Amino acid sequence: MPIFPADARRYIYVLRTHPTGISFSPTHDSRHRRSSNVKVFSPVRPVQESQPTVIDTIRSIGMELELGLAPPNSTGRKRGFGEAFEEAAAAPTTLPLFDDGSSSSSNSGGGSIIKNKKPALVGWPPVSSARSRASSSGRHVKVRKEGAAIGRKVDLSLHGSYGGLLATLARMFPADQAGCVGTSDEEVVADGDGRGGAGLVVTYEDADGDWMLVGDVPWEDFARSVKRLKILL
Amino acid sequence: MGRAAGPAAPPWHSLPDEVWEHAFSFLPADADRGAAACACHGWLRAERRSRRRLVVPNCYATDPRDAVDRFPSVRAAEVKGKPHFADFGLLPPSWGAYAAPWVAAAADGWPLLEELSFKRMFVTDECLEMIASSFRNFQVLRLNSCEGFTTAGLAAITEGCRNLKELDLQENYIDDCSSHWLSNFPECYTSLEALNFSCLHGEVNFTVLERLVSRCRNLKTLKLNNAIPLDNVASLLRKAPQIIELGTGKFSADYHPDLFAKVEAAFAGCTSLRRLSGTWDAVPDYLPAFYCVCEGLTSLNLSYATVQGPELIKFISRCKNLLQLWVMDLIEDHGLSVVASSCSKLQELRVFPSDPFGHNGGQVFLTERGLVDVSASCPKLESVLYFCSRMTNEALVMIAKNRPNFTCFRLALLEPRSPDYITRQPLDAGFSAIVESCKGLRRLSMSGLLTDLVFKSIGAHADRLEMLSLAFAGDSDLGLNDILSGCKSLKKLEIRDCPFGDKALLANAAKLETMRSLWMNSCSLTVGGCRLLALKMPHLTVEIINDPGETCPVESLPFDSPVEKLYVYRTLAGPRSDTPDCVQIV
Repeated sequence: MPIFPADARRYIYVLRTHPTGISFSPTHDSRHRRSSNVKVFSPVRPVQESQPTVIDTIRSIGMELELGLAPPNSTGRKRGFGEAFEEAAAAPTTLPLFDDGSSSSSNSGGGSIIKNKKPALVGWPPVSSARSRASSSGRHVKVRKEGAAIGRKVDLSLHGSYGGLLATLARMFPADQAGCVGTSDEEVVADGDGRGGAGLVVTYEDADGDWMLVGDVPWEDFARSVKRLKILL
Repeated sequence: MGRAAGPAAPPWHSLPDEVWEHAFSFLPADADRGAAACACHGWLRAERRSRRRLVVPNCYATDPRDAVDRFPSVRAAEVKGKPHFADFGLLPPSWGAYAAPWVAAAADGWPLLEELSFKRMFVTDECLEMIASSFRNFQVLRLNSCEGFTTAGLAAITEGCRNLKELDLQENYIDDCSSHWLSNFPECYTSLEALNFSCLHGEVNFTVLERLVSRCRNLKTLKLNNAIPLDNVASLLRKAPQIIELGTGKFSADYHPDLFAKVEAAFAGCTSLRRLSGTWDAVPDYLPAFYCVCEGLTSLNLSYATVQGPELIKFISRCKNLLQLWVMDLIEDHGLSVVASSCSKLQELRVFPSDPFGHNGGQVFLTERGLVDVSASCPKLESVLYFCSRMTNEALVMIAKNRPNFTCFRLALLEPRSPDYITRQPLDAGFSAIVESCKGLRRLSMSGLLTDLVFKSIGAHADRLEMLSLAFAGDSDLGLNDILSGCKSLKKLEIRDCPFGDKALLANAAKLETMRSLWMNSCSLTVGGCRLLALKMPHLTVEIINDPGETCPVESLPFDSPVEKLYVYRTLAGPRSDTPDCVQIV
């Protein structure tokens, strides 16, 4: 499968150093754009030290990405998308930036960030196929938040109720601006009309293609019919 | 033996066979019986004719007909097929391990067979039909991690085996033909004692199940599948309060006080319940419904329950008599410290990863602390399987010191080659401490950053070790050489992604014949080395396994062509003839 879905080409991000490591955030707001030349950056720390993978760090910090300049390349000309990532094989300084949450390249062991063309490790970690079916190929649905450029994916099979799902969404999309989803450390409880603890309005697209408010139907019915989620402001 | 006094008693070596058969019936362990059979022809004859239980750990180690001929009185047989790493997708699906020859041989030679177990084998519907029609007193069928059959085959079993007591389907891949296999149990049938269909994906007719459970008063084990909702689980329990082992169906539902009360009342009636599993998608709301059975539980498998937090911990802390606990890493270190203080009788702990492939952000739930706590406070703990993201040598040394009674220690660090996360050193010192301290260690799985040094310790100290699993470890052939030249009791060795080549194998070729099997993938083996090994050891089968679709014949390959996957095992039967194209026997 392609590492980068086609529409990710619009969102080529650059990593900038951050006091705690590496961070990037999703945005194509003009106030954040520093340069119209979007290039690819190399990680500050080499991965051989077995640090948590870049994707882990990115996810744990949140999604703060800023555009910036990339180091000059040897030919001195602009690189196209394809070239930028083909170079990854030769000069291992590029990173898989867009991970849509599915398997293969995202978490294939130490060194995977650098050799991002290497196939994922088969059979590692050593969990039986029954377990990996239960955990990894669970029901991943896309989640978009209004106004956010980059979506996330959430594994429905890891949740057994609306409360759990809303708590995970609140964690994935923390409150940063007025009117956005957010939560303090208290438990988020669904009260049946799609609203969570701090004004979340979560809607979903069901099997018929209609957009519905989350929380009306029993969890199992919801989990079976949901195709994707959208958080409204 | 002194001189016989009075009328001459027969010398001991000419006592009739029946005497020896009776004597051997007191030797439960197959190994002891096998040793007795080697003593002399008389004992061999007596032992083989009286053997009732046969375990064949490698279905290709012998021809099925030879096994049936040698042990004509077997009533219970267990046959295992694919190597362990097949569980993780490392074997091509068509590799082999067909049950059909075994079923055919058994049908011919063991008409009185009562029990049959297959593990990691390819079992077809025809096999199941043959089982149903060949053994008039067939009672127990266990299929574990098998595939190749459908619910139509199950229907043949339930219809044909009038004396069936146990049908145990564990982690199989079963095609659902929507055949009403459960309905095929006749109405007069009441002898069911154990039923496990947890791996089935489809729906079963609940009314039929309920009637079955009601009329089988000896039912002790019932493991349901994920399609049975909580409400129905409660109804079933009301019909079978004598149950000892329960696998719940889907254990989540939106909270409803009526349903909660029903579930709680149903469990309150199950005073004999000792083992609990299933609990897929368990939600915290319903865990308190279990409280009444916690005190009696000896085995708890929550490894598919993605529930976390205080409810989980409160629940487990009430299970003071647990011997066996399987749980997800969502229990976190704090939860394990509660387990340590509450479950003082714990013997076996398995902690599985909730997010093994890092899909949900790679959050760390569990560290080395949890294992240190449990090993410090549970004096009977002897078997551990632990998935976590970090470890230190200090923790392993402490664990080794606290628990020298480990018989099985399996540590899976999620990131390959992870060092000690504080000192950045390899984990050699930690694992060496484990093998030096735990003199009874029979099974060991290692992970993390490991050099050849640790293999020196293992070779020297792990005298009782029977099974060793290695991944991403070692620096050179010296490591493998230390293992093969030491480890006196080694039976199974499975290795992946280690820099081991042919030299160590060839230098220790004779050792391989004392072992059951060797698996190696993604190491540094060559075609030439494997050919030499096969030439040197005619009683070994040396299989080179490629990916399906790659069928380049081994004869044409140069000496130093790399071998991706190697499986070597000893056999009395010579090379097997049922290999797919992607497997070549050199």
